[in-house]
Amino acid sequence: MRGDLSDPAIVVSNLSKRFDLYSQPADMLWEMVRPQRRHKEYHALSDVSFNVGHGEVVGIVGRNGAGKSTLLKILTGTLEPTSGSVTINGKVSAILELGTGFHAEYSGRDNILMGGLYLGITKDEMRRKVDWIVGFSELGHVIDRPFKTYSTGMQARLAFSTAVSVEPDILIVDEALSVGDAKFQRKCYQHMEDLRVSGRTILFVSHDPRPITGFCDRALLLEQGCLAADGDPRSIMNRYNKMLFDEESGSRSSASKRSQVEQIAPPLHNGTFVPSPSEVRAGDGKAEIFDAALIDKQGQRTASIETGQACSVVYWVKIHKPIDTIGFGFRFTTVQGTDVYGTSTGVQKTPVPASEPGQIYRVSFDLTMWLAPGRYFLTVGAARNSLEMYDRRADVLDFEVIGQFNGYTSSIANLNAAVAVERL
Amino acid sequence: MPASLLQPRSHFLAFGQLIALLTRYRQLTWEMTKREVAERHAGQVLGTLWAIGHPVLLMALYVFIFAFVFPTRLGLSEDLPRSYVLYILAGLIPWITFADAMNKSTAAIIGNAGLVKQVAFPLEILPVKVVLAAFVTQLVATPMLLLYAMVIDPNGLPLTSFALPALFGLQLLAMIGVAYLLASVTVFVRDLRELVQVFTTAGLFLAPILFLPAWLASAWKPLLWILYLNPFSHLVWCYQDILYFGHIAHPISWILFITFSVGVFYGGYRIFRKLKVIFGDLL
Repeated sequence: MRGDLSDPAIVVSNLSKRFDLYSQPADMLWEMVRPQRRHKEYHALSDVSFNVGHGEVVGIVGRNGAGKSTLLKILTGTLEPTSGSVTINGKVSAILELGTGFHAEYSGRDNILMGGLYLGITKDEMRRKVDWIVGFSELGHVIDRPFKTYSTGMQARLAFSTAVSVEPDILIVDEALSVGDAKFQRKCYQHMEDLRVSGRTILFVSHDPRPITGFCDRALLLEQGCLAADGDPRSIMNRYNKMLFDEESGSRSSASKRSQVEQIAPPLHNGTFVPSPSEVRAGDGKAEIFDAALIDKQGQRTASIETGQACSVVYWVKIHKPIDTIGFGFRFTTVQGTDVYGTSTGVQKTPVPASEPGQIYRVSFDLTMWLAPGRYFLTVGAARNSLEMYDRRADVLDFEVIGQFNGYTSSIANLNAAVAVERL
Repeated sequence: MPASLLQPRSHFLAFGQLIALLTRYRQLTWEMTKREVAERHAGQVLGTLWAIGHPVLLMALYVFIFAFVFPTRLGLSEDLPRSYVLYILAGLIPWITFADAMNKSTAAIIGNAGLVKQVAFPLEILPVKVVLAAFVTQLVATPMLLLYAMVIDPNGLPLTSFALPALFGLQLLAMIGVAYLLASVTVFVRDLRELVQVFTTAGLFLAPILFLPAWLASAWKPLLWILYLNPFSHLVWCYQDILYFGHIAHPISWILFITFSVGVFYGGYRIFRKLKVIFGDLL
């Protein structure tokens, strides 16, 4: 079944999907006999084009209604495009919305069998797979109970195990994994990693940024049915988060407001402040973080810190609008987007004195760099509380941790273990 | 399309296409049919036994009312060469089956919305499994009719009964065609479900199942036209010809029913194939 590996696994060209929405079915009949239009058009996808190569893991993000599910359904073959084309090279297996496609009254075992038959796999072949599926899903104790008695976690286990058991060339996963327990999720990611290594293609929809940045090679951002961006997962996620955040704080114009703010007194320390190109900024602009730095022992700005050394995160904030309260915080994240450490004045119960517009704060966090060597990002923020951001500069700086280190290269923390072995 | 309706070649291609599909997915078709039969009686004490019990009881009821309660027990004659019970059963069994298939097929797509929207598989199987599940009734009931004819009826079973498999085939073709038509059109016009239900209830009296056309009082003779226009009358006449009369008493019905079967199969299948691409949009 596998297509020629030199062809892309998925070719989507100029794909559009329009739904004709009729307020009542009879309108459809009227339209056939009279020229007057009686429906509204809804463009779920407009002119979307992209290729996915064999062995690529691609994340798809976008707000609700951006067209993610429509796209996946067209790729799966349950929905027909209005125009454009989709070419799939290989066998597709999909986990769409949880529980659908499974029959509530059938047992887990029967659902496995039917799931295989729908894909054109023979009964004998499916029977051979059942043991593997039961083993992988760890559902041995409930496999003969009706599907309707399963918890959502169990449903996710069955859906994932069945979908991967058919050894697809292209696996499509729509959110379904987010309901599973952490242990099973890890098992799923491990399995998908194996699939990736063996050259299978995975398409992945999630609202959770971690799997997108940590697992995908590439990400697509859909916005109102259009492909808004296609590229490196980290920058796509940042753009997506910014989109969400700007929408929530209702301040699309805040960016332009901020840019009008005059440059303020040059801060201390040598060197200049150059925000990272992948920075994502959000907030309502009542306060502005106009400079941030990582400061070494010598009091110099730096982009590389030796592991185990003392250093400080320092940033400067100017207040622009009257505010009743303000707090400050920072966090370090890995390139994959995992938080490794973060703290704030709120967490540390450090009161911040009140202020008037025009006030400037210098915020500093002194710390010891116990991260393992590697590349990390710094995020700094000034906020009223966790919901109301004045200014949040995510990934404003990136820095390198260097130096002597006695652990595995995959480590993210430096616990400086001392080894001792004695013959007894 | 009207022109292509007259081209035997394209009919044959459509038929071949469906046979190839059903052969490829024979296990799925078979499993779905089995489950359709089982599901109708899921959770009942006697379970799948009702697949047999239901038609038996229904037949017994009709036969009891029309052959014994009402005083229409006529002696054997030119018009009625065998027992009246056999006359009723010959037409009743295919009609109940056909009506059942029609009623269930209106839900074949809209009743499986989750499956249609989420799982990519040949939707052509859904109406077929409904027809096959309905046909189980006929496969259960027909041997009882044959047994009745051979054991109880004074004139026994006509030799023409050997044509039964061919007529089964023809009826299946018609049922599949009608099922395709109803399954797909109901997605657009959901009212069709109710219309079909009313039609199948009335249909028992719109076809010559319980009476002979000759029995209509002269004042009601114009109603004969309804009988002749109803394609299911011809289905009933065909069955009566081979199981009851023992000769081709209604040659025109044979021509009409063969034409109807082939035509409705081809038309229904074509319409289904055309409409199925937008099922996902409408469910």
